[in-house]
Amino acid sequence: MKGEVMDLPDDYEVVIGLEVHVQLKTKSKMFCACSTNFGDSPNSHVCPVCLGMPGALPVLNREAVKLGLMLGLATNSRIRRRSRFARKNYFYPDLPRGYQITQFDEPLCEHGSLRIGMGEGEKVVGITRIHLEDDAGKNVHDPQTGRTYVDFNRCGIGLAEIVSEPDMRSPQDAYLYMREIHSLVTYLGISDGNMEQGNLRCDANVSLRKKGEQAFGTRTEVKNINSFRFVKHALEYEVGRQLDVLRAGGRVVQETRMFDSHRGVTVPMRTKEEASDYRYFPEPDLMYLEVTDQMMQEAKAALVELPGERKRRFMREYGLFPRECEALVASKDLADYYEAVVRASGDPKRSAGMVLTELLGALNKDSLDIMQSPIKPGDIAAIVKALASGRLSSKMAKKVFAQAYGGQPVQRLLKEIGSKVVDQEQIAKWVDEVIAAHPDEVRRYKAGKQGLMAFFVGQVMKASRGKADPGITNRILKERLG
Amino acid sequence: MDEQLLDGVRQAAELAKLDLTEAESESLVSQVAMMLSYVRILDDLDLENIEGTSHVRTFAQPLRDDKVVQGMTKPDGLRNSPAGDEDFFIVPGIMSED
Repeated sequence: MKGEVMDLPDDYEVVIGLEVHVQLKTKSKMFCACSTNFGDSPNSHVCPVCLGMPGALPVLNREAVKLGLMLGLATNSRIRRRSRFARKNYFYPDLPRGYQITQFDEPLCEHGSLRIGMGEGEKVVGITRIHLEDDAGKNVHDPQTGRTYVDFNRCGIGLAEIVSEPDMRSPQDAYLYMREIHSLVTYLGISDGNMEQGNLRCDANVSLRKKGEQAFGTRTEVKNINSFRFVKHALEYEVGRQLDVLRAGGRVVQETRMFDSHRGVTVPMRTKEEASDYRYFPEPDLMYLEVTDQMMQEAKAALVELPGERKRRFMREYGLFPRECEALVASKDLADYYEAVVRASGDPKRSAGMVLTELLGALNKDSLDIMQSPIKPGDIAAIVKALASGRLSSKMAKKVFAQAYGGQPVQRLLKEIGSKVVDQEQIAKWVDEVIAAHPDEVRRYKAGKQGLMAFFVGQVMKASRGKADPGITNRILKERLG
Repeated sequence: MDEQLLDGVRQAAELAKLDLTEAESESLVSQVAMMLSYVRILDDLDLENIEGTSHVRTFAQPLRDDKVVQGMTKPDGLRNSPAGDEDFFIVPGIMSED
Protein backbone atom coordinates (compact mmCIF):
# COMPACT_ATOMS: atom_id res chain seq x y z
CA MET A 1 0.00 0.00 0.00
CA LYS A 2 2.25 2.68 -1.26
CA GLY A 3 1.42 6.29 -2.01
CA GLU A 4 -0.20 8.84 0.21
CA VAL A 5 -3.89 9.15 0.79
CA MET A 6 -5.64 12.24 -0.56
CA ASP A 7 -6.99 14.84 1.84
CA LEU A 8 -10.75 14.57 1.90
CA PRO A 9 -12.78 17.77 1.68
CA ASP A 10 -14.38 18.90 4.95
CA ASP A 11 -17.46 20.45 3.38
CA TYR A 12 -18.44 17.55 1.10
CA GLU A 13 -18.75 13.81 1.54
CA VAL A 14 -17.44 11.46 -1.15
CA VAL A 15 -19.73 8.61 -2.22
CA ILE A 16 -18.33 5.79 -4.33
CA GLY A 17 -19.81 2.53 -5.57
CA LEU A 18 -17.94 0.05 -7.75
CA GLU A 19 -18.95 -2.39 -10.45
CA VAL A 20 -16.27 -5.01 -10.74
CA HIS A 21 -16.01 -7.54 -13.55
CA VAL A 22 -14.19 -10.73 -12.69
CA GLN A 23 -13.18 -13.00 -15.53
CA LEU A 24 -13.91 -16.54 -14.40
CA LYS A 25 -11.14 -19.10 -14.57
CA THR A 26 -12.88 -21.82 -16.53
CA LYS A 27 -11.33 -23.90 -19.30
CA SER A 28 -14.15 -23.27 -21.73
CA LYS A 29 -16.35 -20.24 -22.41
CA MET A 30 -19.59 -19.47 -20.60
CA PHE A 31 -22.08 -20.70 -23.18
CA CYS A 32 -19.96 -22.72 -25.62
CA ALA A 33 -17.04 -25.17 -25.46
CA CYS A 34 -14.41 -22.88 -27.03
CA SER A 35 -11.13 -22.55 -25.13
CA THR A 36 -10.53 -19.54 -22.88
CA ASN A 37 -6.76 -19.72 -23.28
CA PHE A 38 -5.20 -16.25 -23.24
CA GLY A 39 -2.69 -15.09 -25.82
CA ASP A 40 -3.47 -17.58 -28.59
CA SER A 41 -3.64 -16.54 -32.23
CA PRO A 42 -6.60 -14.18 -32.86
CA ASN A 43 -9.96 -15.75 -33.66
CA SER A 44 -8.67 -19.27 -33.08
CA HIS A 45 -11.25 -20.01 -30.34
CA VAL A 46 -14.53 -19.37 -32.09
CA CYS A 47 -17.68 -21.31 -32.91
CA PRO A 48 -21.21 -20.60 -34.13
CA VAL A 49 -22.37 -19.78 -30.58
CA CYS A 50 -19.78 -17.12 -29.71
CA LEU A 51 -19.78 -15.74 -33.26
CA GLY A 52 -23.50 -15.19 -32.90
CA MET A 53 -24.57 -17.26 -35.87
CA PRO A 54 -28.31 -17.68 -36.33
CA GLY A 55 -29.73 -20.79 -34.71
CA ALA A 56 -26.74 -21.50 -32.49
CA LEU A 57 -27.87 -22.13 -28.93
CA PRO A 58 -26.06 -21.33 -25.68
CA VAL A 59 -25.50 -24.01 -23.01
CA LEU A 60 -24.30 -22.77 -19.64
CA ASN A 61 -20.98 -23.94 -18.17
CA ARG A 62 -21.51 -25.72 -14.83
CA GLU A 63 -18.09 -24.65 -13.53
CA ALA A 64 -18.86 -20.95 -14.14
CA VAL A 65 -21.95 -21.33 -11.96
CA LYS A 66 -19.84 -22.98 -9.25
CA LEU A 67 -17.32 -20.12 -9.28
CA GLY A 68 -20.16 -17.59 -9.10
CA LEU A 69 -21.62 -19.47 -6.13
CA MET A 70 -18.25 -19.50 -4.37
CA LEU A 71 -18.01 -15.75 -4.81
CA GLY A 72 -21.53 -15.39 -3.42
CA LEU A 73 -20.79 -17.58 -0.41
CA ALA A 74 -17.48 -15.81 0.26
CA THR A 75 -19.29 -12.46 0.39
CA ASN A 76 -22.12 -13.77 2.59
CA SER A 77 -24.58 -13.13 -0.19
CA ARG A 78 -28.01 -14.62 -0.41
CA ILE A 79 -27.97 -17.25 -3.16
CA ARG A 80 -30.98 -17.29 -5.42
CA ARG A 81 -31.86 -20.94 -6.01
CA ARG A 82 -33.64 -19.96 -9.20
CA SER A 83 -32.11 -17.20 -11.23
CA ARG A 84 -32.61 -16.08 -14.78
CA PHE A 85 -30.63 -14.77 -17.71
CA ALA A 86 -31.54 -11.72 -19.77
CA ARG A 87 -30.46 -10.11 -23.00
CA LYS A 88 -28.77 -6.74 -22.83
CA ASN A 89 -28.93 -5.30 -26.30
CA TYR A 90 -26.30 -3.05 -27.76
CA PHE A 91 -24.67 -2.61 -31.09
CA TYR A 92 -20.90 -2.76 -31.19
CA PRO A 93 -18.40 -4.72 -33.30
CA ASP A 94 -17.03 -6.67 -30.33
CA LEU A 95 -20.42 -8.30 -29.80
CA PRO A 96 -21.47 -10.33 -32.85
CA ARG A 97 -24.81 -11.45 -31.35
CA GLY A 98 -25.85 -7.85 -30.82
CA TYR A 99 -26.66 -8.60 -27.18
CA GLN A 100 -24.85 -9.73 -24.07
CA ILE A 101 -26.30 -12.64 -22.12
CA THR A 102 -26.39 -11.40 -18.55
CA GLN A 103 -28.67 -11.43 -15.53
CA PHE A 104 -31.00 -8.56 -14.81
CA ASP A 105 -33.82 -8.73 -12.31
CA GLU A 106 -33.06 -12.17 -10.91
CA PRO A 107 -29.28 -12.36 -10.33
CA LEU A 108 -27.52 -15.39 -8.85
CA CYS A 109 -26.45 -13.61 -5.62
CA GLU A 110 -27.75 -10.59 -3.69
CA HIS A 111 -27.31 -8.75 -0.41
CA GLY A 112 -23.72 -9.65 0.44
CA SER A 113 -20.91 -7.72 2.06
CA LEU A 114 -17.16 -7.42 2.12
CA ARG A 115 -14.90 -6.18 4.91
CA ILE A 116 -12.13 -3.84 3.89
CA GLY A 117 -9.20 -2.38 5.82
CA MET A 118 -8.04 -3.49 9.24
CA GLY A 119 -8.10 -2.26 12.79
CA GLU A 120 -9.58 1.22 13.17
CA GLY A 121 -9.96 1.72 9.41
CA GLU A 122 -12.00 -1.46 9.02
CA LYS A 123 -15.41 -1.09 7.42
CA VAL A 124 -18.03 -3.15 5.69
CA VAL A 125 -19.00 -2.50 2.08
CA GLY A 126 -22.40 -3.83 1.01
CA ILE A 127 -22.65 -5.97 -2.11
CA THR A 128 -25.87 -5.30 -3.97
CA ARG A 129 -25.61 -8.24 -6.33
CA ILE A 130 -23.34 -10.66 -8.13
CA HIS A 131 -24.48 -11.90 -11.50
CA LEU A 132 -23.13 -14.03 -14.32
CA GLU A 133 -22.65 -12.81 -17.87
CA ASP A 134 -20.40 -13.30 -20.87
CA ASP A 135 -17.55 -11.14 -22.11
CA ALA A 136 -17.25 -9.28 -25.40
CA GLY A 137 -14.47 -9.61 -27.97
CA LYS A 138 -11.50 -7.32 -28.27
CA ASN A 139 -11.39 -4.35 -30.64
CA VAL A 140 -8.05 -3.07 -31.77
CA HIS A 141 -8.25 0.25 -33.52
CA ASP A 142 -5.64 1.07 -36.13
CA PRO A 143 -5.32 4.85 -36.38
CA GLN A 144 -3.23 4.51 -39.55
CA THR A 145 -5.89 2.80 -41.62
CA GLY A 146 -8.80 4.09 -39.57
CA ARG A 147 -10.09 0.54 -39.32
CA THR A 148 -10.88 -1.64 -36.35
CA TYR A 149 -9.65 -5.20 -36.00
CA VAL A 150 -11.77 -7.59 -33.97
CA ASP A 151 -10.61 -10.70 -32.12
CA PHE A 152 -13.36 -12.91 -30.71
CA ASN A 153 -11.19 -15.22 -28.59
CA ARG A 154 -12.37 -13.38 -25.48
CA CYS A 155 -15.96 -13.16 -26.67
CA GLY A 156 -18.14 -15.44 -24.57
CA ILE A 157 -15.73 -16.00 -21.68
CA GLY A 158 -17.58 -16.11 -18.35
CA LEU A 159 -17.67 -13.07 -16.10
CA ALA A 160 -19.08 -12.41 -12.68
CA GLU A 161 -20.10 -8.81 -12.12
CA ILE A 162 -19.98 -7.65 -8.51
CA VAL A 163 -22.00 -4.52 -7.87
CA SER A 164 -21.33 -2.75 -4.57
CA GLU A 165 -23.53 -0.45 -2.58
CA PRO A 166 -22.42 3.22 -2.60
CA ASP A 167 -20.67 2.58 0.71
CA MET A 168 -17.15 3.82 0.00
CA ARG A 169 -16.24 7.27 1.28
CA SER A 170 -12.84 7.88 -0.29
CA PRO A 171 -10.67 6.79 -3.21
CA GLN A 172 -8.61 4.92 -0.62
CA ASP A 173 -11.69 2.89 0.37
CA ALA A 174 -12.22 2.01 -3.29
CA TYR A 175 -8.60 0.96 -3.60
CA LEU A 176 -8.85 -1.27 -0.50
CA TYR A 177 -12.08 -2.76 -1.83
CA MET A 178 -10.44 -3.65 -5.15
CA ARG A 179 -7.49 -5.16 -3.27
CA GLU A 180 -9.88 -7.22 -1.16
CA ILE A 181 -11.76 -8.45 -4.24
CA HIS A 182 -8.43 -9.29 -5.81
CA SER A 183 -7.22 -11.39 -2.91
CA LEU A 184 -10.64 -13.00 -2.62
CA VAL A 185 -10.82 -14.15 -6.24
CA THR A 186 -7.20 -15.26 -6.37
CA TYR A 187 -7.46 -17.12 -3.03
CA LEU A 188 -10.52 -18.94 -4.23
CA GLY A 189 -9.00 -19.63 -7.64
CA ILE A 190 -12.02 -17.97 -9.22
CA SER A 191 -9.93 -15.72 -11.44
CA ASP A 192 -6.35 -14.77 -12.25
CA GLY A 193 -7.42 -11.31 -11.07
CA ASN A 194 -4.90 -9.48 -13.21
CA MET A 195 -6.11 -5.91 -13.78
CA GLU A 196 -3.48 -5.15 -16.40
CA GLN A 197 -4.54 -8.19 -18.42
CA GLY A 198 -8.15 -7.23 -18.05
CA ASN A 199 -9.39 -10.22 -16.10
CA LEU A 200 -10.33 -7.89 -13.27
CA ARG A 201 -11.98 -4.64 -14.37
CA CYS A 202 -13.78 -1.90 -12.56
CA ASP A 203 -16.14 0.96 -13.25
CA ALA A 204 -16.79 3.49 -10.53
CA ASN A 205 -19.83 5.59 -9.69
CA VAL A 206 -18.72 8.77 -8.00
CA SER A 207 -20.71 11.58 -6.43
CA LEU A 208 -20.37 14.22 -3.74
CA ARG A 209 -22.92 15.52 -1.28
CA LYS A 210 -22.81 18.29 1.30
CA LYS A 211 -21.87 16.91 4.68
CA GLY A 212 -24.92 15.90 6.67
CA GLU A 213 -27.18 15.56 3.64
CA GLN A 214 -29.07 12.32 3.06
CA ALA A 215 -29.77 12.52 -0.66
CA PHE A 216 -27.00 11.51 -3.03
CA GLY A 217 -25.52 14.06 -5.40
CA THR A 218 -25.48 13.63 -9.17
CA ARG A 219 -23.02 10.89 -10.06
CA THR A 220 -20.66 10.23 -12.91
CA GLU A 221 -19.51 6.80 -14.02
CA VAL A 222 -15.77 6.45 -14.53
CA LYS A 223 -14.65 3.70 -16.89
CA ASN A 224 -11.34 2.33 -18.13
CA ILE A 225 -9.68 1.96 -14.74
CA ASN A 226 -7.25 -0.83 -15.56
CA SER A 227 -4.73 -1.00 -12.74
CA PHE A 228 -4.82 -0.81 -8.95
CA ARG A 229 -2.86 2.42 -9.06
CA PHE A 230 -5.40 3.97 -11.41
CA VAL A 231 -8.28 3.16 -9.04
CA LYS A 232 -6.89 5.82 -6.73
CA HIS A 233 -5.62 8.19 -9.42
CA ALA A 234 -8.83 8.19 -11.45
CA LEU A 235 -11.07 8.62 -8.43
CA GLU A 236 -8.95 11.32 -6.82
CA TYR A 237 -9.04 13.25 -10.06
CA GLU A 238 -12.80 12.81 -10.43
CA VAL A 239 -13.53 13.77 -6.81
CA GLY A 240 -11.37 16.90 -7.23
CA ARG A 241 -13.09 17.78 -10.48
CA GLN A 242 -16.60 17.49 -9.02
CA LEU A 243 -15.50 19.44 -5.97
CA ASP A 244 -14.30 22.30 -8.17
CA VAL A 245 -17.60 22.31 -10.06
CA LEU A 246 -19.71 22.30 -6.89
CA ARG A 247 -17.66 24.86 -5.01
CA ALA A 248 -17.89 27.19 -7.98
CA GLY A 249 -21.67 26.93 -7.68
CA GLY A 250 -22.03 24.68 -10.72
CA ARG A 251 -23.82 21.38 -11.19
CA VAL A 252 -22.30 17.99 -11.91
CA VAL A 253 -23.59 16.53 -15.16
CA GLN A 254 -24.60 12.89 -15.06
CA GLU A 255 -22.38 11.26 -17.64
CA THR A 256 -19.93 8.47 -18.37
CA ARG A 257 -16.29 9.49 -18.28
CA MET A 258 -13.18 7.66 -19.39
CA PHE A 259 -9.98 7.68 -17.37
CA ASP A 260 -7.04 8.77 -19.51
CA SER A 261 -4.08 7.27 -17.68
CA HIS A 262 -1.51 9.14 -19.75
CA ARG A 263 -2.84 12.51 -18.72
CA GLY A 264 -4.21 11.36 -15.37
CA VAL A 265 -7.63 12.90 -16.04
CA THR A 266 -11.19 11.75 -16.72
CA VAL A 267 -12.86 12.95 -19.91
CA PRO A 268 -16.49 12.66 -21.00
CA MET A 269 -17.15 9.71 -23.29
CA ARG A 270 -18.34 10.72 -26.72
CA THR A 271 -22.06 10.21 -27.02
CA LYS A 272 -21.59 7.77 -29.88
CA GLU A 273 -19.96 5.32 -27.50
CA GLU A 274 -22.82 5.53 -25.08
CA ALA A 275 -25.60 3.00 -25.36
CA SER A 276 -28.37 4.28 -23.21
CA ASP A 277 -31.14 1.88 -24.01
CA TYR A 278 -30.27 -1.75 -23.42
CA ARG A 279 -33.82 -3.07 -23.81
CA TYR A 280 -33.33 -5.91 -21.36
CA PHE A 281 -35.65 -8.85 -21.74
CA PRO A 282 -35.60 -12.49 -20.53
CA GLU A 283 -33.22 -14.62 -22.60
CA PRO A 284 -35.56 -16.92 -24.56
CA ASP A 285 -32.76 -19.36 -25.37
CA LEU A 286 -32.20 -20.27 -21.72
CA MET A 287 -34.57 -21.60 -19.13
CA TYR A 288 -34.12 -20.64 -15.51
CA LEU A 289 -30.90 -21.58 -13.70
CA GLU A 290 -31.52 -23.87 -10.78
CA VAL A 291 -28.94 -24.16 -8.02
CA THR A 292 -29.37 -27.64 -6.56
CA ASP A 293 -28.35 -28.73 -3.07
CA GLN A 294 -25.50 -30.66 -4.62
CA MET A 295 -24.23 -27.57 -6.44
CA MET A 296 -24.35 -25.62 -3.17
CA GLN A 297 -22.42 -28.34 -1.38
CA GLU A 298 -19.78 -28.46 -4.09
CA ALA A 299 -19.31 -24.70 -3.97
CA LYS A 300 -19.07 -24.76 -0.16
CA ALA A 301 -16.53 -27.58 -0.24
CA ALA A 302 -14.36 -25.59 -2.63
CA LEU A 303 -14.10 -22.59 -0.30
CA VAL A 304 -10.77 -22.15 1.44
CA GLU A 305 -9.94 -19.87 4.35
CA LEU A 306 -10.55 -16.38 3.00
CA PRO A 307 -7.94 -13.62 3.16
CA GLY A 308 -9.97 -11.53 5.61
CA GLU A 309 -10.38 -14.47 8.01
CA ARG A 310 -6.77 -15.42 7.61
CA LYS A 311 -5.62 -11.88 8.39
CA ARG A 312 -7.60 -11.82 11.61
CA ARG A 313 -6.35 -15.29 12.55
CA PHE A 314 -2.72 -14.21 11.99
CA MET A 315 -3.28 -11.30 14.35
CA ARG A 316 -4.93 -13.48 16.95
CA GLU A 317 -2.77 -16.60 16.80
CA TYR A 318 0.58 -15.16 15.91
CA GLY A 319 0.34 -11.75 17.56
CA LEU A 320 1.41 -9.94 14.39
CA PHE A 321 0.76 -6.29 13.60
CA PRO A 322 -2.13 -5.48 11.25
CA ARG A 323 0.38 -4.19 8.72
CA GLU A 324 2.29 -7.49 8.78
CA CYS A 325 -0.90 -9.55 8.44
CA GLU A 326 -2.05 -7.42 5.53
CA ALA A 327 1.24 -7.95 3.73
CA LEU A 328 1.41 -11.69 4.44
CA VAL A 329 -2.07 -12.53 3.20
CA ALA A 330 -1.77 -10.39 0.07
CA SER A 331 -1.39 -13.63 -1.83
CA LYS A 332 -2.34 -17.11 -0.80
CA ASP A 333 1.04 -18.46 -1.87
CA LEU A 334 2.86 -16.00 0.36
CA ALA A 335 0.59 -16.73 3.33
CA ASP A 336 1.06 -20.49 2.80
CA TYR A 337 4.84 -20.02 2.62
CA TYR A 338 4.84 -18.00 5.82
CA GLU A 339 2.82 -20.61 7.66
CA ALA A 340 5.23 -23.31 6.49
CA VAL A 341 8.07 -21.28 8.03
CA VAL A 342 6.11 -20.89 11.26
CA ARG A 343 5.39 -24.62 11.47
CA ALA A 344 9.09 -25.42 11.10
CA SER A 345 10.40 -22.65 13.36
CA GLY A 346 7.70 -22.33 16.00
CA ASP A 347 8.39 -18.60 16.04
CA PRO A 348 5.71 -16.56 14.25
CA LYS A 349 7.09 -13.12 15.08
CA ARG A 350 10.64 -13.67 13.87
CA SER A 351 9.37 -15.68 10.89
CA ALA A 352 7.19 -12.74 9.81
CA GLY A 353 10.14 -10.38 10.02
CA MET A 354 12.38 -12.71 8.05
CA VAL A 355 9.79 -13.38 5.32
CA LEU A 356 8.56 -9.80 4.96
CA THR A 357 11.84 -7.95 5.22
CA GLU A 358 14.59 -10.25 3.99
CA LEU A 359 12.80 -12.63 1.65
CA LEU A 360 10.30 -10.24 0.05
CA GLY A 361 13.00 -7.60 -0.25
CA ALA A 362 15.26 -9.99 -2.13
CA LEU A 363 12.45 -11.36 -4.29
CA ASN A 364 11.22 -7.89 -5.24
CA LYS A 365 14.73 -6.91 -6.21
CA ASP A 366 14.90 -9.86 -8.57
CA SER A 367 11.29 -9.47 -9.75
CA LEU A 368 10.44 -12.97 -8.55
CA ASP A 369 7.26 -14.07 -6.87
CA ILE A 370 7.11 -16.29 -3.82
CA MET A 371 6.64 -19.46 -5.84
CA GLN A 372 9.99 -18.77 -7.52
CA SER A 373 11.83 -18.27 -4.26
CA PRO A 374 15.28 -19.87 -4.39
CA ILE A 375 15.12 -20.54 -0.66
CA LYS A 376 12.75 -23.04 0.98
CA PRO A 377 10.55 -22.37 4.05
CA GLY A 378 12.54 -24.95 6.03
CA ASP A 379 15.77 -23.00 5.43
CA ILE A 380 14.23 -19.73 6.54
CA ALA A 381 12.97 -21.57 9.62
CA ALA A 382 16.48 -22.81 10.38
CA ILE A 383 17.78 -19.23 10.28
CA VAL A 384 14.87 -18.08 12.46
CA LYS A 385 15.64 -20.79 15.01
CA ALA A 386 19.32 -19.87 15.10
CA LEU A 387 18.31 -16.26 15.59
CA ALA A 388 15.89 -17.11 18.40
CA SER A 389 18.41 -19.27 20.23
CA GLY A 390 20.99 -16.53 20.09
CA ARG A 391 23.38 -18.46 17.90
CA LEU A 392 22.96 -15.70 15.34
CA SER A 393 22.76 -11.99 15.90
CA SER A 394 20.19 -10.29 13.71
CA LYS A 395 22.99 -8.82 11.66
CA MET A 396 24.45 -12.26 11.06
CA ALA A 397 21.03 -13.70 10.30
CA LYS A 398 20.72 -11.18 7.47
CA LYS A 399 24.11 -12.27 6.18
CA VAL A 400 23.28 -15.97 6.36
CA PHE A 401 19.98 -15.28 4.64
CA ALA A 402 21.70 -13.44 1.79
CA GLN A 403 24.16 -16.29 1.30
CA ALA A 404 21.45 -18.94 1.50
CA TYR A 405 19.31 -16.94 -0.94
CA GLY A 406 22.33 -16.91 -3.21
CA GLY A 407 22.31 -20.70 -3.26
CA GLN A 408 24.53 -21.82 -0.38
CA PRO A 409 23.20 -24.62 1.85
CA VAL A 410 21.83 -23.17 5.08
CA GLN A 411 22.91 -26.03 7.34
CA ARG A 412 26.54 -25.65 6.28
CA LEU A 413 26.43 -21.87 6.75
CA LEU A 414 25.01 -22.26 10.24
CA LYS A 415 27.59 -24.88 11.15
CA GLU A 416 30.46 -22.68 10.03
CA ILE A 417 29.12 -19.78 12.00
CA GLY A 418 28.35 -21.99 14.98
CA SER A 419 32.05 -22.66 15.46
CA LYS A 420 32.76 -18.95 15.59
CA VAL A 421 29.81 -17.89 17.66
CA VAL A 422 29.08 -18.74 21.18
CA ASP A 423 25.80 -20.56 21.38
CA GLN A 424 23.31 -20.71 24.15
CA GLU A 425 24.64 -23.89 25.68
CA GLN A 426 28.09 -22.40 26.11
CA ILE A 427 26.63 -19.27 27.71
CA ALA A 428 24.62 -21.48 30.07
CA LYS A 429 27.83 -23.21 31.09
CA TRP A 430 29.48 -19.89 31.93
CA VAL A 431 26.41 -18.80 33.84
CA ASP A 432 26.54 -21.95 35.95
CA GLU A 433 30.24 -21.39 36.67
CA VAL A 434 29.64 -17.79 37.74
CA ILE A 435 26.76 -18.84 40.00
CA ALA A 436 28.87 -21.58 41.60
CA ALA A 437 31.76 -19.20 42.19
CA HIS A 438 29.67 -16.48 43.91
CA PRO A 439 27.33 -18.13 46.48
CA ASP A 440 27.28 -14.99 48.61
CA GLU A 441 26.08 -12.72 45.82
CA VAL A 442 23.50 -15.32 44.78
CA ARG A 443 22.09 -15.38 48.30
CA ARG A 444 21.88 -11.57 48.41
CA TYR A 445 20.30 -11.43 44.96
CA LYS A 446 17.66 -13.93 46.02
CA ALA A 447 17.04 -11.89 49.13
CA GLY A 448 16.01 -8.98 46.91
CA LYS A 449 19.19 -7.24 45.81
CA GLN A 450 18.14 -7.05 42.12
CA GLY A 451 20.99 -4.72 41.25
CA LEU A 452 23.40 -7.64 41.46
CA MET A 453 22.13 -8.86 38.06
CA ALA A 454 24.53 -6.46 36.40
CA PHE A 455 27.36 -7.98 38.41
CA PHE A 456 26.51 -11.52 37.21
CA VAL A 457 26.21 -10.43 33.60
CA GLY A 458 29.57 -8.72 33.92
CA GLN A 459 31.15 -11.89 35.32
CA VAL A 460 29.76 -14.00 32.45
CA MET A 461 31.00 -11.46 29.92
CA LYS A 462 34.39 -11.63 31.56
CA ALA A 463 34.40 -15.44 31.46
CA SER A 464 33.43 -15.40 27.76
CA ARG A 465 35.91 -12.66 27.00
CA GLY A 466 33.06 -10.53 25.63
CA LYS A 467 31.69 -13.15 23.25
CA ALA A 468 28.45 -13.92 25.07
CA ASP A 469 25.32 -12.08 23.99
CA PRO A 470 24.25 -9.90 26.94
CA GLY A 471 20.54 -10.36 26.20
CA ILE A 472 20.77 -14.14 26.26
CA THR A 473 23.07 -14.08 29.26
CA ASN A 474 20.51 -12.01 31.10
CA ARG A 475 17.69 -14.39 30.23
CA ILE A 476 19.60 -17.50 31.30
CA LEU A 477 20.72 -15.85 34.52
CA LYS A 478 17.13 -14.97 35.36
CA GLU A 479 16.04 -18.54 34.65
CA ARG A 480 18.74 -19.98 36.89
CA LEU A 481 18.34 -17.50 39.72
CA GLY A 482 14.56 -17.83 39.63
CA MET B 1 -49.86 11.22 -36.96
CA ASP B 2 -49.16 9.74 -33.55
CA GLU B 3 -46.14 11.84 -32.51
CA GLN B 4 -45.26 9.61 -29.59
CA LEU B 5 -45.19 6.57 -31.82
CA LEU B 6 -43.15 8.45 -34.40
CA ASP B 7 -40.55 9.20 -31.74
CA GLY B 8 -40.59 5.54 -30.79
CA VAL B 9 -40.00 4.51 -34.40
CA ARG B 10 -37.12 6.96 -34.75
CA GLN B 11 -35.55 5.73 -31.56
CA ALA B 12 -35.91 2.08 -32.51
CA ALA B 13 -34.39 2.86 -35.91
CA GLU B 14 -31.45 4.57 -34.29
CA LEU B 15 -30.84 1.67 -31.91
CA ALA B 16 -31.03 -0.70 -34.89
CA LYS B 17 -28.63 1.57 -36.81
CA LEU B 18 -31.20 2.01 -39.59
CA ASP B 19 -31.10 5.16 -41.70
CA LEU B 20 -34.76 5.87 -42.30
CA THR B 21 -36.04 8.76 -44.35
CA GLU B 22 -38.79 10.85 -42.83
CA ALA B 23 -41.31 9.23 -45.21
CA GLU B 24 -40.18 5.75 -44.21
CA SER B 25 -40.47 6.59 -40.54
CA GLU B 26 -43.97 7.89 -41.04
CA SER B 27 -45.10 4.86 -43.00
CA LEU B 28 -43.71 2.65 -40.26
CA VAL B 29 -45.80 4.43 -37.66
CA SER B 30 -49.03 2.99 -39.03
CA GLN B 31 -47.44 -0.47 -39.33
CA VAL B 32 -46.18 -0.40 -35.78
CA ALA B 33 -49.58 0.85 -34.63
CA MET B 34 -51.17 -2.19 -36.29
CA MET B 35 -48.75 -4.54 -34.56
CA LEU B 36 -49.44 -2.95 -31.21
CA SER B 37 -53.17 -3.14 -31.59
CA TYR B 38 -52.89 -6.79 -32.58
CA VAL B 39 -50.80 -7.62 -29.53
CA ARG B 40 -53.27 -5.71 -27.40
CA ILE B 41 -55.61 -8.69 -27.85
CA LEU B 42 -53.67 -10.16 -24.93
CA ASP B 43 -55.22 -7.54 -22.70
CA ASP B 44 -58.53 -9.35 -23.10
CA LEU B 45 -57.22 -12.46 -21.38
CA ASP B 46 -58.21 -13.04 -17.81
CA LEU B 47 -54.87 -13.47 -16.05
CA GLU B 48 -56.18 -13.38 -12.53
CA ASN B 49 -54.36 -15.97 -10.36
CA ILE B 50 -51.95 -16.89 -13.13
CA GLU B 51 -48.31 -16.67 -12.20
CA GLY B 52 -46.01 -14.85 -14.58
CA THR B 53 -43.44 -16.84 -16.54
CA SER B 54 -40.61 -15.80 -18.79
CA HIS B 55 -40.19 -19.04 -20.70
CA VAL B 56 -42.52 -21.56 -22.27
CA ARG B 57 -40.54 -24.37 -20.67
CA THR B 58 -40.95 -24.85 -16.96
CA PHE B 59 -37.89 -26.91 -16.12
CA ALA B 60 -34.36 -25.83 -15.27
CA GLN B 61 -31.79 -25.36 -17.99
CA PRO B 62 -29.35 -28.20 -18.53
CA LEU B 63 -25.70 -27.44 -17.72
CA ARG B 64 -22.55 -28.37 -19.57
CA ASP B 65 -19.31 -29.72 -18.09
CA ASP B 66 -16.30 -27.43 -18.41
CA LYS B 67 -14.62 -29.22 -21.32
CA VAL B 68 -12.96 -27.61 -24.30
CA VAL B 69 -14.05 -28.70 -27.73
CA GLN B 70 -12.38 -27.19 -30.77
CA GLY B 71 -14.99 -25.07 -32.52
CA MET B 72 -14.50 -23.75 -36.01
CA THR B 73 -11.15 -23.45 -37.71
CA LYS B 74 -9.98 -19.90 -38.03
CA PRO B 75 -10.50 -19.73 -41.83
CA ASP B 76 -14.03 -21.11 -41.39
CA GLY B 77 -14.77 -18.60 -38.65
CA LEU B 78 -13.52 -15.71 -40.73
CA ARG B 79 -15.28 -16.84 -43.89
CA ASN B 80 -18.40 -14.78 -43.22
CA SER B 81 -16.46 -11.66 -42.42
CA PRO B 82 -17.28 -8.93 -44.94
CA ALA B 83 -13.71 -7.75 -44.68
CA GLY B 84 -10.81 -9.42 -42.97
CA ASP B 85 -7.27 -10.60 -43.19
CA GLU B 86 -6.08 -14.03 -42.13
CA ASP B 87 -6.33 -13.18 -38.42
CA PHE B 88 -9.00 -10.58 -37.81
CA PHE B 89 -12.48 -9.45 -38.63
CA ILE B 90 -12.08 -5.92 -39.93
CA VAL B 91 -14.80 -3.32 -39.49
CA PRO B 92 -15.06 0.40 -40.18
CA GLY B 93 -13.14 2.27 -37.49
CA ILE B 94 -14.75 2.82 -34.14
CA MET B 95 -13.76 5.92 -32.25
CA SER B 96 -11.68 4.39 -29.52
CA GLU B 97 -10.39 1.00 -28.57
CA ASP B 98 -12.30 -0.56 -25.76
